[in-house]
Amino acid sequence: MSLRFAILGLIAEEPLHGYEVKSRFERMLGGTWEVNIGQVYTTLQRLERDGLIEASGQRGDRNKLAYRTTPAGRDAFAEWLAQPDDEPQQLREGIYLKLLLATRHGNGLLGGLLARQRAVYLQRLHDLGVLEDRATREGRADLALLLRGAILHVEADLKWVDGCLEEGRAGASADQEARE
Amino acid sequence: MRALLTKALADLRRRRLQSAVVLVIVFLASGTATLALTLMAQNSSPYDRAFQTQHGAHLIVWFDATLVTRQQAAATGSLVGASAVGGPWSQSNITYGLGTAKQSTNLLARDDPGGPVSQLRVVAGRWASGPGEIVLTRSFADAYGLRVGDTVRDVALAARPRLRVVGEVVDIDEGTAELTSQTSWVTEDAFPRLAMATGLAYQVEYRFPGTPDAAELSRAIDRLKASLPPTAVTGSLTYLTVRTVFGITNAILTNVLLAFSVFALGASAAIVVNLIAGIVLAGYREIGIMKAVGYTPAQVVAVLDLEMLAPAAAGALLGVAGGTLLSQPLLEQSAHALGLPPEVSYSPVLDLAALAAILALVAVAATLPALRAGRLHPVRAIAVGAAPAASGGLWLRRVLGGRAPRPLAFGLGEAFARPLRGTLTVLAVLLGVATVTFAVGSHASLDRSLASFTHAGRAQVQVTRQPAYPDESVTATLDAQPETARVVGIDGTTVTVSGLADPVTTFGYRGDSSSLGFFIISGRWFQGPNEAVAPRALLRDAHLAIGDTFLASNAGRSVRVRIVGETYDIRNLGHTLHVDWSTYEQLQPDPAPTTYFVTLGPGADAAAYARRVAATEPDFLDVQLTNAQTFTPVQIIDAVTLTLAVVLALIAAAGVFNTVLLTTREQARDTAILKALGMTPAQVLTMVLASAGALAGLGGLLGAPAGVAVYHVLTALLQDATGNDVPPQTLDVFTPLQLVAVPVAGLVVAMAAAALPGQWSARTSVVQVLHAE
Amino acid sequence: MGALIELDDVTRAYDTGTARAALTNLRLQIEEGDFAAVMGPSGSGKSTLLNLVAGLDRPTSGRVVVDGCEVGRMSESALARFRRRRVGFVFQFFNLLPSLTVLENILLPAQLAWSRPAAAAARARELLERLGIQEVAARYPARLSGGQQQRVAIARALINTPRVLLADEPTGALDSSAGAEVMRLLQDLHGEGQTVVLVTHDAKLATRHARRVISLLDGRLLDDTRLAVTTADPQDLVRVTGREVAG
Repeated sequence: MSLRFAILGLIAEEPLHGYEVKSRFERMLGGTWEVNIGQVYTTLQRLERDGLIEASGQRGDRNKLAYRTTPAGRDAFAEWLAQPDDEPQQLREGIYLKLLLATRHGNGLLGGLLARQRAVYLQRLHDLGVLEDRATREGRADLALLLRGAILHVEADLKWVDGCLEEGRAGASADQEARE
Repeated sequence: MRALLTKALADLRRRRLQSAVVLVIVFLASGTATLALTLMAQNSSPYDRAFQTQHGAHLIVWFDATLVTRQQAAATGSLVGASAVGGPWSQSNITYGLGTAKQSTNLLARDDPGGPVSQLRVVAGRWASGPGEIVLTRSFADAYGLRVGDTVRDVALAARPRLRVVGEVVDIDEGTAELTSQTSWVTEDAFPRLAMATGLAYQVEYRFPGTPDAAELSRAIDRLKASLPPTAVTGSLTYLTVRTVFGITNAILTNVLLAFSVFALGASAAIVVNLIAGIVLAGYREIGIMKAVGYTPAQVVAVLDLEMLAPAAAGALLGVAGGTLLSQPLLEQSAHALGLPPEVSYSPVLDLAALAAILALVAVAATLPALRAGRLHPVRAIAVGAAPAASGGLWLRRVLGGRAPRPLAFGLGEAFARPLRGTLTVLAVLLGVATVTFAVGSHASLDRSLASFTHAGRAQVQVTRQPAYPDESVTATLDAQPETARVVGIDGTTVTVSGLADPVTTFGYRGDSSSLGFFIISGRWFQGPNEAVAPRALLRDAHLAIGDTFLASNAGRSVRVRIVGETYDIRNLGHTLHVDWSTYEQLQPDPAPTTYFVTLGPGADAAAYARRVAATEPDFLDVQLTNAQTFTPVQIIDAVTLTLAVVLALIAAAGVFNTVLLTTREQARDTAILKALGMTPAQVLTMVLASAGALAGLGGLLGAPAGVAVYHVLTALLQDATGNDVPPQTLDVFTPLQLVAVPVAGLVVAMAAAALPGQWSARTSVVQVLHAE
Repeated sequence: MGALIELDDVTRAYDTGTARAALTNLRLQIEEGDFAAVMGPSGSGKSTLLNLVAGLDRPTSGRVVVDGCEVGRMSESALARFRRRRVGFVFQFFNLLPSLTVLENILLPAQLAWSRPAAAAARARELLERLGIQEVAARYPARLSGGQQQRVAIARALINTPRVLLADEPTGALDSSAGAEVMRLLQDLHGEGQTVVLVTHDAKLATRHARRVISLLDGRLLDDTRLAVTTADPQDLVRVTGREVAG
């Protein structure tokens, strides 16, 4: 449950009230993950219930209630950090399903599909690259880090598509040779 | 062992071109060397064989028939301790009129070709059986186109009797018709009518037990003279002299060949060193891998050695065989002249020794640079992958800087980038240019030496007179011709010189003999009576120096003569004497010139003149143009020298080719980069040619003086063999044009040799070279 | 205006017996001022394409026209002169001449083209400064880092002001920071008007700096994408997702 520990981690840095948590969280992720305030408050309540955070007095000009971490909370956060992520790989269902189905239906469909997908990935790479440069220039190291990860994923997808293209050609020529 | 062979063979297959070059140069060099050695070793053997078979005479003596009886002559054998005696045979002279040429031989009366000494082998026809029949030596018959059944006329006698050739024999003493005088035989009863009025002698031939040396024979002659009236012995000839003259051509050739083979082997060794060094450089990475795989340093060296030795062995085998084969015709000439059955005359031991020596030389030449490969550290070699870049030529590039066009600057710098390789290539070219220079000089000096006694440059016409036609008639005829500018008359006889066993051929000159152009080596030509000049051999053997006097005797007369100069004359291996007519008259009774050298006025037609004079007396006068004379041994020496020069030039060109090939292959990557940057094929070729040109230019520059030096040394040796000192006129034979032309020719040949690898380098695909990484 | 580089039905086959040719019936046009990256797996023909444009190779059939010169028809000498003046080539492994200094390496194409020494020297100095390597002008390539060497190579390629700058995996032998620097350099040069054609297998670098990505597969054109200038924000492009676990 990453959101819970993300909020815990933000508060561990500095006591924050709910809206601050939301905006900081979204800012850190560059707007790529939006959370609604209700979700935030619910999570805060649960964290308090579990004894990982506690009230910390008033903050800000609106006098909102701020929270800070408890020793137990800091321990829990450290434990979560230490654990590696062993979630299964996430694959984009859209492209994967199209690959499988197009393969079943024959090579002619597949080639064009892959080429077009490739073009999309190339543009995506370009865009992400430009953004990464901008993020680095603006000193937003965490966003740059995120974008670099995204770029690598796109590169991986591109490699996958290229591999399918190569295999498809190899298969085609093998068939051709077998037929000859 | 198997691993070594596999690797070596695989490499050989890859480097076919270089292996082929090694094969060719070793073949050429070993062929030359074997030829020289075989000639040297086997030169005497045909003669020795024939001598034994035909019971040759160790000593021949002529007795004046007016002072000694036949019985006395026959009895001399026991006097000198001879084991067998041949003759006495009556001896005179005969001259054949053969068209416009007149040829003389000895005339002997002999009824039986066999006998205990000097057996004559009848090789065509039969022996003479009565008057009107004559037997010739085969050499003489071959030289003048006479055959059994031909009729010849004796123009030495006024009656000009006709004779029929009934047989040809081989006489161990005959030598070849061009170098030594020949003999013709008639029966005893036919002799009196053919004998000349004067000069009758008895010829007696002796064989001694064992193998007598010159001293022993000299003592025998002395004993003869002591026991007979003075001047009873008119002449003598030892088998040692005959043998030397017989082999003189081959002896000279051998000297020349030996010198050439040393050069050729030297150049070949330099090329092999270069090749291996180049292979090591190119194969750094490969050698590193070999060592990493487990080849010991010794094995690495062994593989490289094998790579050179395999083609070298093939080349050497072919060369030794070829050289031995080639020596056979030269030796065969001698054997044929001696009437021996064609026999293969060579020494297998010598051949094997030559083969072993050449292979050892190649092995050493290959091992020295290969040791470097053995010492390579495997890891570093693989990692670095290439030999350290050549840095030698940077200074040159710096100097040329931006002043010279880039391709030239690169090429010149590249030439000296690897000092060892450059030096060895320069050496190969140097040897080639030196050899060709030597050949040019040798040819010119042979020409000049010959001219010094054919007098080709000084007198255009040579007239020879038979005794039947008087001197006054000849002189009158010549004086009557309007073109006649000068006549020098010459007669020859043998004269005993105090201190010498053999009588000396002496020439008397009537007229302005100094105009004939004999070389004066020191002192001066004679100017009056009782003065003489002689070649070095005579002076040395008679222990005479310029200024010394000696006693010359002939036909009962003695004259004290002073040596005033040393001249150049290769006849009789330098045993001749030259005096003025005033001296000659004192020695020879009734002297009259038999040969006349005529100098014509300017613009005269020598051929027409010769025809006119010959027409005045077709039988008894022999009229020849002096510049039409050829001398076969000289032609042989010339031809061989020329061939050897070409051989060495080929070797040098092969050396340049190899170096350029190595370098362009090493530089393939850099050259590809240059081409990618825009260097045209013409510029690449210029680069390569500049590189080769620089090396060849340097080699030529050094080679020409080296060739002149070698020429001086070898000429001295050559002349020594003929019993002469080197005349200054033959030392100074090089024209400036020649000394420049030979190195320039060397430059051109080297650039031509470099052109092929240069073209390859210019034409290889950039893409293939650069993307093959 | 005609294209600066045009490949018209170009095939480049090798007679090594394999059925596949390096390039087959390729049609391509590159305009002046373009920055194209050519991508593809090994064996796709991208290097062959570059070699043809550079005049280092000739097509088996079809026409390759660069700056008005038809490469297939030109003699070796003419091609060499073409390479001098019209194209600049940058190699993956730099290919600097080890026995020449940096300055000498840079001047080489100018000297081969018989340029006036003064003019060439001035341009060389200009390039040294522009590429930030003026301090190493007198050093030998072996003493330079990879990035420096590649910059020398770029300077060398530009000395004769070529119409097109060609680069074959220019960052292949460099670490990522040096590589990124070289790519930025190429982008800047492009910004100043230089036509650039780049062969690379690195999609990230290609899309970051080039304007157009030409993808080859097995000697044929797979894709030709002109990259749009981006106006996207991160949230348009990336979605971070997680599984919500109760608790």
